[in-house]
Amino acid sequence: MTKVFDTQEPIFKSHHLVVALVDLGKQRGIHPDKLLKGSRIFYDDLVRDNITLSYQQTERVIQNITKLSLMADASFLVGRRLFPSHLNEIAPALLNCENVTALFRVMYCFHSLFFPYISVQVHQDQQHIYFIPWTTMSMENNEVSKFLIEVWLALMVSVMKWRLTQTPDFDCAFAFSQPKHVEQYQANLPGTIQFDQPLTVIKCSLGCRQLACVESNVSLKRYHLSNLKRVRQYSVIQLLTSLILQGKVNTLEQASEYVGISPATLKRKLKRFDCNFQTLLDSVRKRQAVFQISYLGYTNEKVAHCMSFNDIPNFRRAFKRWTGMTPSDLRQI
Amino acid sequence: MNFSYLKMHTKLFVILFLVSSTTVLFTFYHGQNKPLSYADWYDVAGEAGITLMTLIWIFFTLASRPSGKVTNMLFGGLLLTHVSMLLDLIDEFLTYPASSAWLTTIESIPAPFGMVIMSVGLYWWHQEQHVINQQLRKTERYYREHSYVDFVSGLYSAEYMKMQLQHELNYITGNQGTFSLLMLDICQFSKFNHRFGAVQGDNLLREIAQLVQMNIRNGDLACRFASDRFIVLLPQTQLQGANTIANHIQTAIAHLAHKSGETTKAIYPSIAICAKQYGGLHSYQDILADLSLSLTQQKRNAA
Repeated sequence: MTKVFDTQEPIFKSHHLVVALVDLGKQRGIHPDKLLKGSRIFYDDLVRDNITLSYQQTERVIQNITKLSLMADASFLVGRRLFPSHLNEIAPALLNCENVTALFRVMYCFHSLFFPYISVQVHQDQQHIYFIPWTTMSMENNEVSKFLIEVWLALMVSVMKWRLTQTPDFDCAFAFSQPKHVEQYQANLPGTIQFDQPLTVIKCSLGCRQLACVESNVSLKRYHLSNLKRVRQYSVIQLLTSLILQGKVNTLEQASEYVGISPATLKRKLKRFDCNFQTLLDSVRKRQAVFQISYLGYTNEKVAHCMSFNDIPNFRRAFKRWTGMTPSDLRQI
Repeated sequence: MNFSYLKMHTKLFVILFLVSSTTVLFTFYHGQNKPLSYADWYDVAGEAGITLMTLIWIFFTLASRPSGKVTNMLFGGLLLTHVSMLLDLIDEFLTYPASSAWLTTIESIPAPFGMVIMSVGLYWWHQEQHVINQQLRKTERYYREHSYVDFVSGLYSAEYMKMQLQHELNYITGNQGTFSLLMLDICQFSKFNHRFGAVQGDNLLREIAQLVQMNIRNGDLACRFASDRFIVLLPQTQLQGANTIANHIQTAIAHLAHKSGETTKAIYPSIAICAKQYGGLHSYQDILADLSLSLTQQKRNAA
């Protein structure tokens, strides 16, 4: 049975991210209470019990951190430190993966154990594999979602560095503008870095899939994987996004039928993410269309067909509404 | 705020307590209470304020300085001033009999002595600061901003380097000059971290920062860039000179026998280093991005 949650339900295991952040702050002489301010978390509870936190609480801690210049490198540093010690459930499986394909697959299938705040859409063409990360708990491109993308990237790179003899290049395009701490990107990410792009996409060459990991054991990996329970719980945005991508839902009513909650409740739940069904639908389709046009070089006809638009002018109008430009403008960038 | 220095000054706090309490007891023993209606409350408020302020100054002096000659002088001077102010304050509430009238006469004497001692202390402090500035020579240029100091390595952070680069660019566009930059990166630093832990990783960063500092000239500036990367600004230096210094740093670090914890077993870290010369044509953002990418490519080609 699939379960959905919103930003106020305690879902996230505290040791995953918040404990690591608070520890880092403590090492630098920042009192835990300062970082936990406004989150209704007490430091003693955090270290004593394995508590679960809501996204709202986690978000508050991250907001506190992004205000401190002393913690400008916190996202990358914590991302690097999460693996393997903080990912105690999934780390044994990752440590026994035989190659990059297997690593990607484990990260993808058990993404809620790997890094639940970011979900990834993966696409392949003849030369490249593309990762389109998006935040599962918010719709906006704000400081917190940037922070989470940074942590996720650092985590991915650290897994690669740990498991492979040579780190593959990640060519990164970001949908936000160059942050003040750009040196953290330059020093931590292998590959090119571009800001102010229409979409956040991480690209790496298809050849990297075959790169072998050091000291792997496939049977041990299978054993550890079989011990993991697939958690069938998703954030509202996450579940609806995947349903939209699969073309199963187009309206709020269809969505509520699929999820098994009344439209009114679904609406209320979406409101906790500061969005409604239409904005979510638009943002998912925008992501898809922008990606297909700028990375796969699809024609308008092909994109419109993929999204089951009836005619091209309709698609062009919708595209203009999503992005503020026409498809041909985007091609020229 | 950080009050860790206070623990060093137990002795001075005892002296402060003894001197203040002796003053109070002594005056109350010899003097007689004035009726409260005689007191000029404006005077009392002003004098009590000054007395309290001298105490606060003593506290902050001790909180921000390690023990030593300069601290003792500053403390002594402030203490004498404090005694004067305290006598002045008590004076508002007591009258002294003829036999102890000298107490009123001498009450303002400690203050000038205290101020002279404090002035000497301040002069010594000036000299001490000069020595510290000499020590900071290779990590600082013309400008001090403590919020830019990198917590781990003790060097300034990338933010400070950006500011200095901007200055350097402004300077050389007017003077047709040039400068070079070095960027270095510890090889296999993430493996080191995984193996020995983040605390050891920070120690290694600190040691390498010190070595880099030792191998550059006065007037050069070393900063931590990000993660395991450092950056060095070499003003008015051609590429050839920059390469020579890069070589020195690389050789020095190759000979660093890093010890983790109590063991005598050594780890020999190695670095990748890249030198580039720049003119005044680019922005500092472009320069940093270019330098960083060059280092990444150089590492890639070497692998």
